[in-house]
Amino acid sequence: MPTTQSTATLRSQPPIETGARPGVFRRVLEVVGVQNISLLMAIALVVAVIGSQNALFFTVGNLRVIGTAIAISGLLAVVQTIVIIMGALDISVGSIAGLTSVSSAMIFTATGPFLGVVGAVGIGMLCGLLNGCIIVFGRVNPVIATLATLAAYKGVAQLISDGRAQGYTGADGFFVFLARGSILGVPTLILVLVIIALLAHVVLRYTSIGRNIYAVGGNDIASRLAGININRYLIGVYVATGAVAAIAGVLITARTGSGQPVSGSEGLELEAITAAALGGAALKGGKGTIAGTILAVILLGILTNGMTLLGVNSFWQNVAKGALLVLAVVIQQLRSGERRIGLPG
Amino acid sequence: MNVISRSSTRQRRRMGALAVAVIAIVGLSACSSGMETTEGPAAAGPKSGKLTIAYLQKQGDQQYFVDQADGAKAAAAELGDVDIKVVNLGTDSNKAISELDSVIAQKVDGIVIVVPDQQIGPQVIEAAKAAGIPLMASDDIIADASGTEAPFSGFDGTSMGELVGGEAARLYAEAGWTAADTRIISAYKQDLTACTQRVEGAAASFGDAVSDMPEVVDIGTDNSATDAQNKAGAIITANAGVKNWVVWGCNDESETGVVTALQNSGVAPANIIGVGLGAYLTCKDWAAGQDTGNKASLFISGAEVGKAAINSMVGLLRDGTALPPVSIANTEIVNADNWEEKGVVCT
Repeated sequence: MPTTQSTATLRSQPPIETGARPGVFRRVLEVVGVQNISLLMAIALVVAVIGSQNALFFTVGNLRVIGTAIAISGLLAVVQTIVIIMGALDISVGSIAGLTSVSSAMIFTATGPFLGVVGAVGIGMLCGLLNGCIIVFGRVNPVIATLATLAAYKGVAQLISDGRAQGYTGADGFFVFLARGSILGVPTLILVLVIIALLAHVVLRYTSIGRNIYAVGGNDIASRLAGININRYLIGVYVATGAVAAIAGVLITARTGSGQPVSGSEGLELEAITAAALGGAALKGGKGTIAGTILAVILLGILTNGMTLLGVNSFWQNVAKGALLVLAVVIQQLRSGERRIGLPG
Repeated sequence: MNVISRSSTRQRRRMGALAVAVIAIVGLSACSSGMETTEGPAAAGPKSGKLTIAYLQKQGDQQYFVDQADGAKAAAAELGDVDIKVVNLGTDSNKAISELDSVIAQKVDGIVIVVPDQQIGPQVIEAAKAAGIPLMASDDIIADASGTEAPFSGFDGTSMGELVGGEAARLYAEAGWTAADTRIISAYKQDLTACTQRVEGAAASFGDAVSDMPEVVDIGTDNSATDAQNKAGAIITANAGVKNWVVWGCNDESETGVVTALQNSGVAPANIIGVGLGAYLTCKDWAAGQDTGNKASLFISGAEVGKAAINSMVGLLRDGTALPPVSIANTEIVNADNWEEKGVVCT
């Protein structure tokens, strides 16, 4: 519907400020994006509220705590964003993280840290490849396909580990470096997230691969007619997702000191989707940015940390997080100016 | 006009037919309010031949319950001609009822159940009674509507907690710490009754054993090590001036997660007294010879509970020996020096 789309674009244009320096304001808005500005404002608000209640919130130590706490879910949120931009969804990332966590610890125990990590990433990529193949060749809806593998991969993790936490990585230099080490004062966990996020950002924004991913998510028929091999892109994105989920799994192993088949990875998929949606990724595809997702991950991390810091009951924390998401997506939908007919996209 | 009136007549006729059909169906089928009590078949006498016992477990993918299922199967193999059917209920009470109905329909000879929530006790007991299948509760005590408890095999949550709190108090006194420079972190899943019982037991026995009780900080976790680590980070920030820390939790995951967070924030292992619950994760530091804040842990052997439950159940089914009302399995505190000889298996 070209007409609707053009009106939507028109309506979502921010009103031009007629203040002192409209040019600067508009340029900033264009570079950062309205979505990200609103997230930044939300972060500032939350920080101000929590910081005014407890000054310890601003200590470097606490910032490190927040950073390391969001690293694992942040990684999954970044790749989930790419999947969502393609118009698909990967619910199995938490299970892949669990499977790779336990297998990295088992391979590590048998061989060493290098093979432990490489093996885990390999297993993660295989899981992603399988997801992609089920979707592309089996013609299965991505939600259903990964819902199935969510259960299957969790089962495999439990099978190979017999339901037990495997191995001990707390005495190995490499895993300890991952969990507690830092480079120039920045914890390794945060660095891993920064590297992966930057990589994803560059690929999405500055390469033809990224543009094609947006194109496939925006309109798959048009992009196929334009000569994009959609199947290859789908499989590729799922393999990359598997690889990053495996890195998340290795980090879980490093943080807990042993391979956990289920504990610690269960529910990560929902956190990842929450962050991506909060960051402005549209579940129908074609829209979303890594920067937005990272800001959303930071917002959620600060909120969790701050509420625990202030001694807010954990039940209320769930309510607060849910309310925030509802608020964010409702505002997003209203701003997008979509037609108010039928089920929202 | 004509067309409209004709179609509305047809519609009315169709509605009439539908109404008649509905009334007929309701009238012909026997109604059930669901309130009737069915008298189950009289408890069968001693059975010979193959026995099938269903072991329904909450959180069947946790290491403790995996061990329990293994213990049950080992006991069954020893007794001979006994099949154990293990069912994982997760943390879902609704699933527990459906799975219970399912094993009843399969006409198993006996049921052992670890309920995800003790509130469903009356329904569970009623269903088994109606079907005439002997029932035993494992790990979490359940009672029927009148408060009569089902035969039970397992541990007592409060007394487990008391042992943890007692050991923490002993180590606290030994270290010579004072309430002023100490905080206690209690990490657990706050909506699980089994967890609240444990940590409340720990706090009570700690309070009884020491004259000055340090402030207790509760942390709500999802019982995983990573979540405990994340939440503990904020608590450590909020208590920047605190020197010494006592840690306990609902399970080993919660406790070791907090201890790891403390150590990552720069607290020396000597300034941490962590007492775990389960010993399956704390043992990893000990096995590796690490200097750790995980000082002790309560060893609970799931395998023993599983064995005891199956032995009692088979005793009832084969010889008619009544189920013992309560069998509390042994638990003991283990530490870096004695965990191996006490039988802790570290994977």
